[in-house]
Amino acid sequence: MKNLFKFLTFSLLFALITTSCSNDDDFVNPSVSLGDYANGIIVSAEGGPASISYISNDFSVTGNNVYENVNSEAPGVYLQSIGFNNNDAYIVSDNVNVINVVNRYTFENEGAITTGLQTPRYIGFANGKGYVSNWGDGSDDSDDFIAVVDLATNTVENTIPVGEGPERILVHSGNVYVSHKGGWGNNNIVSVIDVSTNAVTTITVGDVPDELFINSEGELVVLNEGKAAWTGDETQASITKIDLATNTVSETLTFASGSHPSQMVFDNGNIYYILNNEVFEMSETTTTLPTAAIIDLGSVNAYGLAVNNGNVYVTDAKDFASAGDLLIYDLSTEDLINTFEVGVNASKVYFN
Amino acid sequence: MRQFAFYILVFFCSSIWSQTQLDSLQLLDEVVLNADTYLKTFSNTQSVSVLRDSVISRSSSSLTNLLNYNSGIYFKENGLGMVSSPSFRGTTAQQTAVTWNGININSQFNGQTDFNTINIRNFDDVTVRSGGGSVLYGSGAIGGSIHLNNLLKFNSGFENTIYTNYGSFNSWDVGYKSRFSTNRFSVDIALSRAQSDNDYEYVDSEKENLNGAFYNQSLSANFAYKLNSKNILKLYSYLYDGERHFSLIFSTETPTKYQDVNSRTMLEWLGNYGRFTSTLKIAYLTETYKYFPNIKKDLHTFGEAKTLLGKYNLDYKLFNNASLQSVIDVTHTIGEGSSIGKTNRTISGFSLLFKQQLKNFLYEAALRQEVTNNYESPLLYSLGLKYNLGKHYSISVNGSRNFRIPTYNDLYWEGSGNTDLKPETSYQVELGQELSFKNFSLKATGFYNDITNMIRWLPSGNLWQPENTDHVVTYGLESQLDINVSLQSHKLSFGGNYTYTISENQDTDKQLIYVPKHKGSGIFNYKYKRASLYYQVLFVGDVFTLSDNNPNYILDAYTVSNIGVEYALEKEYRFVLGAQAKNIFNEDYQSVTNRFMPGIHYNFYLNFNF
Repeated sequence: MKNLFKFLTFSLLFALITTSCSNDDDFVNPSVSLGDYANGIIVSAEGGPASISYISNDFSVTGNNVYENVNSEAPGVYLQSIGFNNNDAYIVSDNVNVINVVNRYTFENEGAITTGLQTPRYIGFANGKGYVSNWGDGSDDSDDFIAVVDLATNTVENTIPVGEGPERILVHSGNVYVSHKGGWGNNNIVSVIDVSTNAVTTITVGDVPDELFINSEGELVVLNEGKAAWTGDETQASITKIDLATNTVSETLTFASGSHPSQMVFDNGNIYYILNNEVFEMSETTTTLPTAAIIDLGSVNAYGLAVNNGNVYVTDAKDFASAGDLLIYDLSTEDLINTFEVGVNASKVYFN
Repeated sequence: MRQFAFYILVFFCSSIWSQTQLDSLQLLDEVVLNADTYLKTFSNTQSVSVLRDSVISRSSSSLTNLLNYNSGIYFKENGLGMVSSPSFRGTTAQQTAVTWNGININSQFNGQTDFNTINIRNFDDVTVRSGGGSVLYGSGAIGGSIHLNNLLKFNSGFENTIYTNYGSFNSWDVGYKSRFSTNRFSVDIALSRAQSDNDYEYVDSEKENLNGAFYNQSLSANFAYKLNSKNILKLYSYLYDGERHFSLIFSTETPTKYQDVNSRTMLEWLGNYGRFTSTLKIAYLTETYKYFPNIKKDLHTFGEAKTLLGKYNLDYKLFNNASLQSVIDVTHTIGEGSSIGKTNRTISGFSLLFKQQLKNFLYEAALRQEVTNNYESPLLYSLGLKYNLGKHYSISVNGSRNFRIPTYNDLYWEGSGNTDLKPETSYQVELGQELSFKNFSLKATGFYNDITNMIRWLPSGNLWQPENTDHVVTYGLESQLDINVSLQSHKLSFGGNYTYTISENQDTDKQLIYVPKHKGSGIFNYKYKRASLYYQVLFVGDVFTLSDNNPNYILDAYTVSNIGVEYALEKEYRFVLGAQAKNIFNEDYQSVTNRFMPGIHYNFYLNFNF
């Protein structure tokens, strides 16, 4: 697979170079020099083994175990997420307490953040620095923190203590917004860190806040999954909108009791999420939750969701002990148009 | 007549008789009592293999190592000395029962035994019993069962052994055993400790095994006292204390550690009254574990279970060649843990067993029904036939229904526990043949095992819960060959096992992960006078690591070879010196993905018997 993939890439490069030399006029911006993994979809798989897969935008080139093939080592035991900054990708390995830094187009390792992290989850970038959410010790609910990373030296230069279970990181106009899903417990806050002072303020949202984004109105939108029934204290899920001028909740859309949506994403003015193994779509301006889904995922064990360029991408973790699939649905027809084998417990889809 | 029921008792009683007759004329016969009588009385139609001191003393101290080289059981080991789970005849780790002097000791929490937390030095024999045995040994005896036995002897005199073994990675394996007995009283005490820095370098890599250190220590004390010619009291006790640091794959992982303390005590009253034999056992078992997710902190999770067990067994000799046995037992367990509220569980059981030996033909039948309010318990049974065709060949067939009950974790884990679980059940049948001569024996057994309601933890949303979901069929062939040749002072022996196993999930038609189709092991031993040279070899075929049998995620087959030499300094074998080199061809292998095992390494030992 690896050799075939390399062969295909080199053939493509060769074809492009020779063509562009002989015929200057036809080509507008041939992006040949970025690397093997540009212009495509990156799928990270938690593992084990953890891995990264690549699928070119035209679906013609695919490769699994990209990081391992390039660097001859595994990308950690448990791969939580990848953050992208300029030409670099930051691969966050949760239980290995490491972030590997690679060129996002070649996946060649350029360094690593190996100290100062403990159960890192997500990374965001602001002010020339990386902000990493960390759960800390598994059995300690009071040691959670945000690590501030000097990106020039790949070292943690500062840590900011925060509430339990910091998860997603979103950077927006000089602030870092952190959803506190709760780690091994449950939480219900969003932390706001002013990157100029590292001062932290919190906004109380619904229980178990996870994905967040800024909508077209400049509001912060958060999906709160609600506490699950097994906690013995089940709560309702909701989508909250927060007015960032006042840091207060301006609107809450509450889900029916017993419904726990997940994997919210935002694309082109629409909100998407998965509930009961169906993909739902709603306009960001709607004030009521949709009742009908756009895609029924059937027997798929949906583990990740992304929407981009008219397609819906869903990762299927299957029985959590098999190689997963990336399923690609056409947003307009809502039909499955392609399936690619990816890694074990594939969870995140990025566009490179 | 002595070959079947109450072999031991009959033997024992006859020796009492002979003692009174011949008292002063000759040395008294040594008498051996095994608490696990079923291995002799109700295991005639299945394959039973006994590993004795001569084999045990050449193995490293873990039960994993002993059985890897001396049985058909496959082990999945998270690096040397780390968590180790068996697959016996293609079944799961919970489907192998481990017994201590006849009592099932699989964990109440996860239903399995970690074979690296058992130090074999405190036992006189380790017996491997292949195939179903739930009627006799309870939950988990589906693939087979492993029996850790202490043998109490009368008239054995005073025997002491000190052994010490030191090797690579600063590994120590030391202990002391003492045995004293008269014709009425017997005591047997053993102390052992194994420890290792376990910081081996990986083969073909600059990496080394990090945070892999461990130690364990065990103390056992066993007593027997003959009250009179009819009654014997026995007391067995055992204490184990171990700590392991769990090794890391990446140096930046947070180091963790695991401690476990287990204690077992059993009082047994054995009475022989003519045609009746009665056995009353009362046992008290405790198991405690603590898991430290960060070695530097005191924060930990724990589990603790205490089990009180009473068992009464009455055997009636119907005819000279037939016996009927009934058993009543009650097991009461109190368990609790970080994620398990204090929960009691009581299981009562009733068994009926019958056996008859005709001229060349033996049959045994057994039934067992357990009653508990935790789950619906199936009727368990077993029927076996054995036919001897001449002196050297026998054929046996055995069919049984066995089970594995839901564990404390399965039933009571906070939030996740599923109290609607049923036991896993298996129907199995096996056909065995044995060819045996003085210097040669060959056993081959074909088996078929249909296991339903297998419990697997599945996610529903963010919550993982156990469900009775899988249906697995395993079948294959087990074989064992032993050859002994002697020529004057030269003795040559070979013992080998080969197992072919198919273990298929019936919904997906895929082989279960970490079940090799082929596994073989062999030991060649050459002895000349007081010197021995031996070679051990282990072959494990490739295994799938993903349940879809994805060919990109296969662990390669491996072959590991060890050699050893041993020399007794004088005729009485009081001082025995030995040296071993393990993995002599420096095979680079993993038993679990990314869990590399050591390359060539060495150890030296000295046994002092007095």
